[in-house]
Amino acid sequence: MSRVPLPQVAPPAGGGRGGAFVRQPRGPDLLRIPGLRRFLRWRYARLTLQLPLLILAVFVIVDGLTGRQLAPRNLATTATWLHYRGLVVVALAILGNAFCGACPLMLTRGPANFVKRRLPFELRWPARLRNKWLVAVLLVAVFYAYEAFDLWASPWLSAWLAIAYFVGAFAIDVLFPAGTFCRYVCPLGNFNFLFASVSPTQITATDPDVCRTCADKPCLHGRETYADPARAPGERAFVPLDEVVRPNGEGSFPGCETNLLVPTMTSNMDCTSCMNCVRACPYDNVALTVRSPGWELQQAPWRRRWGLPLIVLGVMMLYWGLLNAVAMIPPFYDLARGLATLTGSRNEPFLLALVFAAFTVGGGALSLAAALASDAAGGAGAHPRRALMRWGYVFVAMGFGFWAAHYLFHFLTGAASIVPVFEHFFAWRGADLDPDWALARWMPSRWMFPISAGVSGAYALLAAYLTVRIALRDFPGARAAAAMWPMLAFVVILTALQILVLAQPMEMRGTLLGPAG
Amino acid sequence: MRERPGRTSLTSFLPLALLLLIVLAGCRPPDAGGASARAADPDVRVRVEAPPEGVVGPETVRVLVLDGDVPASDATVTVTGDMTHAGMVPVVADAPPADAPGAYLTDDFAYDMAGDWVLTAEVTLPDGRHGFGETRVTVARP
Ligand code: SF4
Ligand code: SF4
Ligand SMILES: [Cu+2]
Repeated sequence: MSRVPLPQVAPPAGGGRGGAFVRQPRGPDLLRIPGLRRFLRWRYARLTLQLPLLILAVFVIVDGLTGRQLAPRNLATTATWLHYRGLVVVALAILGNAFCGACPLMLTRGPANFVKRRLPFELRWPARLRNKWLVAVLLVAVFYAYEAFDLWASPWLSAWLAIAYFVGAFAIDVLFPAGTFCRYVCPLGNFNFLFASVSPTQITATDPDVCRTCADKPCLHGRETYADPARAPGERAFVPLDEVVRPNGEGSFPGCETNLLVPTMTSNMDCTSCMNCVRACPYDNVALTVRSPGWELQQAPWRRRWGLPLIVLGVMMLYWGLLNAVAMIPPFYDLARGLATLTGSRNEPFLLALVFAAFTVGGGALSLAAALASDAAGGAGAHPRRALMRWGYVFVAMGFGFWAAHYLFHFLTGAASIVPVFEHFFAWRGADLDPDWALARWMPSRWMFPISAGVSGAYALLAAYLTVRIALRDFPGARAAAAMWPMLAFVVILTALQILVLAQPMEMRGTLLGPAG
Repeated sequence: MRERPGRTSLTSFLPLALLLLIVLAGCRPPDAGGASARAADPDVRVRVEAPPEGVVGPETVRVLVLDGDVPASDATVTVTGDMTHAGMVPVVADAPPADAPGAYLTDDFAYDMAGDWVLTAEVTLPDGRHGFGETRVTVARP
């Protein structure tokens, strides 16, 4: 494969020579935590993190296919819809995209390479799909399937979904260059990429000047290091052992599979936290920097990479997140009944598709209107694309707040049920265990609303802060004050709506219309 | 042109082989009922009766137990209500014998949330044999 061209390197901030390539956060480096850098530079670090999740995936698939088909008692439904989703949002909020780093799907990489080497060809990912539109379509397809087939209620289907992920990751990485699945296909990964934009950490270059003199950019392309250069297979740039700072042994160290160059990163988008760059950099120049949760989104991070499709997806996630929660509360069923009367149809997949379309189009239109109103108030005229590219990030912050609130709600409701569910796994297969289901009720339900509303509110505050920063960044003087109001008003209204949704009693029902009659 | 992928050993095949195995093992439709795989006696026949449309609050669940074709009146019966969503705590109630032979009624069983429920009756006869029965209910807000 021909080398993908290096990402555009912006001129140094101060002009002239030296200094940073781009603005990167400059907080403390987490890799300074004793032992952590050493661990992450070890070549089996990722495998160590992936194995537990692989084992869990095996449990999920076995129980989903052969266990009792009852969601609260099956690992396939509990570990995925409750624990995975809950822990993902917690990790994103307090650490970063930890789950991609430990993703067991990437363990198919080894077999995929094995098969790949025996294939006479490698396909190129079609140019038309080198954007985030397919990801957007797949994400909404998963959300739709989740409601239409009640995936949350079916261990069997949940297990098949897990299998589909493994098969998909394997097939795509066999046929296409490495990293294709993560960047262009994986709905789970792209959910994480999107919302890692509010994570408090990011990969950065410790000293940009070292990168400036670094000829081969091994963090991106990988490196080979052998005491005897003749042993190097020549797939990657050769860096002699004595040039490596804090050498992590001999071998071939892959670079960034999602094509990120450490000193130019201003965003967590596409970063799988695989730490390949940490292992490949010969000068030990990669940092995992602490930053404020609002740091990334105020830099308009996707302007240079991915652009409009990603912004649109980011905005849509807010409304799909809203729908995902609304689908569990009584007003949703009233809405569905209303639609049934209106259209004269009792076809549930059709009605559900209508609801999705309404949320997508309606939400998109409302967001666009708010962005346009802010631009107009600031005197920037009416350019829909420009308005969305400017203000879209505000909706991303709100969207994360809402997904996090909802996932956290379920996670906190039943987190401790993992113990009896595991016991049940073995009891169902004959072990003499008596699962204590009462454990599932570990947190008083009266705490749920304050916690989830608090999370939603916290990210609404972040969204408001971003609105102010973006207005001050893009509009001079008094016009900034004018520009921020329409967006701020929208943030307040949406937050009120979210909190209203969270305050409703949950109803966990598979049918849209309920009993006929 | 293509990038030469890194070297791989056969051990990296392990996860995939494992998965294939599971997939093959799992290629059959899911088994609907039973609270445990611990062999339910085929002679112990259990029917769970509850209105298919419930309302949040107390509900009386009726369980009918046959041993072969004979009503069994001296069994121990518990009824468990599960919601169809992960993380929900089940509701468990004893069902002592009722009026008719082989019939049992729950004491204080109550739905605590609207949504889809699965009611499972677990039956143990005095001689230790087990039986299970299941029914589905959609529960509405009061
Ligand atoms: S390999 Fe290290 S020094 Fe070279 S560009 Fe990457 S981070 Fe900078
Ligand atoms: S190699 Fe790329 S994806 Fe992996 S941690 Fe580094 S920047 Fe992120
Ligand atoms: Cu919910």
